[in-house]
Amino acid sequence: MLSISITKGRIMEQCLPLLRYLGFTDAALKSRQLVLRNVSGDRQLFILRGRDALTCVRYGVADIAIVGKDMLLEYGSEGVYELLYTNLARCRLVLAGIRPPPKDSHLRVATKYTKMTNQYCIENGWQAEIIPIYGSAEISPLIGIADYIVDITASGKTLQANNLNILATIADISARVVINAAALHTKHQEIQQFKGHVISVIGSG
Amino acid sequence: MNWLLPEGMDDILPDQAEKIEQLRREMLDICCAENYRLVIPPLMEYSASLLAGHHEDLALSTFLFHDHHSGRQLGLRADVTTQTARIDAHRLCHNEVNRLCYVETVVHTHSQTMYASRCPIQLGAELYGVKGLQGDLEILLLLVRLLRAALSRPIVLSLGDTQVLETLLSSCPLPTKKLLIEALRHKSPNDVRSILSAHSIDAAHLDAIVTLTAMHGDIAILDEAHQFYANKFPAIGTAIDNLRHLTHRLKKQVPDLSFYFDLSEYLGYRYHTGLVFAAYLSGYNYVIANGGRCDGIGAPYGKSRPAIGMNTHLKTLASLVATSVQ
Repeated sequence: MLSISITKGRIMEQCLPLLRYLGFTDAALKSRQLVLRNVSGDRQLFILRGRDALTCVRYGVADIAIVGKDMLLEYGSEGVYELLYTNLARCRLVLAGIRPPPKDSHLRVATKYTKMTNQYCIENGWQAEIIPIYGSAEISPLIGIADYIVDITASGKTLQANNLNILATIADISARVVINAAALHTKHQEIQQFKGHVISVIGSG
Repeated sequence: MNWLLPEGMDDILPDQAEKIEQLRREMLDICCAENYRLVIPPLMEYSASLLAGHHEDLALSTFLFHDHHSGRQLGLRADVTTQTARIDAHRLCHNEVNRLCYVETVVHTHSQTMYASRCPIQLGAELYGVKGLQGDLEILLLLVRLLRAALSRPIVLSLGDTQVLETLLSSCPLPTKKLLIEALRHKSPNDVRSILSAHSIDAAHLDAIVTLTAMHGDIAILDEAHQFYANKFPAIGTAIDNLRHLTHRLKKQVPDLSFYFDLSEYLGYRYHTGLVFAAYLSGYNYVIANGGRCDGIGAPYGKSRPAIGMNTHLKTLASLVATSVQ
């Protein structure tokens, strides 16, 4: 039995052809159930938020996870291997604000990516206060919580609609197939077979 | 709530304690039958000794504090291997070969894996003074015997050799290799390529390092790796040949053992100098035992000689015994 945790939302939507190929029925995929079994009963699927999908594979509850690279960068990839790079759910992690940061100022940056933001500010020599915000970060400069935000964007339209400019790209993001390090050793053949399915159905980057 | 334990620390209650004690006795009996003699090093010692050899990962795992009595820094051991190396170099230095075993609680500043205790009970064996295949084989056979005595589930033995990575990195002109090693550890070819592309590395060498992320699998991967690396990097060819010989000998003695080969693996506290290995259990997504060759680990104590060792954690094994029973 191979257990797969998948990030709900855009990644799962783009993985639907793969999930159907793996034997998960449309009826099951459209249901509100968060744990699914495929028709042949040899694969189970956990539908979770990105961070939780990663946690499942790190803790060995799932053998495989399909998560955004942003999750790996922010929460670490200890105990997992990156099996495959895909072109699914492509976007960018960006610094955005109304105007570029003035030199020698103390920045206030709102983000849910606190670790990566802190690292980015240190690399650029910026003194910064990181304000954790877990909803729509775009609102932060408008209501005065922070002057800048760090968030992911695909088209940049939401940022634009909120009068924010992309000031820098911190990282290019796309979905990755990651595996539990021990599962690679104990379920090697099943994992290689799964990798083959991913490449043939959705391709690799 | 002063009675609550810190995160990662745990009490062992009677049912579990009895299982651990039973395992400890059975496994120590096996070690003794193979001529491994029990040592009991102290829980703490001077950090200069405990961390001799500049093992960065080990230092990060070790609690350090000031000793008011001596004015020096003490460390609470996070690993017993360096302590046995000190014993081999100074206390038992007259022996041509030292076979040592131990069962000790170690303390970690942070959990080493998910769910892991920060105070595991480590059972280990170290062999000093036997080089090459003979020593490798002896320790691995002991490991398999110990695990089979404790657990009835099939074991997968993963083998690698740090010489492969060392050889590729030694001629790689990077100011710091930490990021690259991390990317290799996660087998991420894109990250490895992106790190290397920022430096002036010739395309063939870059390709050789990136390809390493895919060099894991069953025994066929050794042939593939040999064909790919041996001409340009003879040291890698030798390391792969050694792995083949070792596997052949192990298969002869333990025909039903499953193998996996991982040439980019960099396990443990990075004091390893050749063969590295890890044991996995079917249906359990964590390492249950590991070890490797650490020739020269005694050098900071004044005695550099061949060494190889293994260790496993008794709390983990006892919980797996419980799972098997259920």
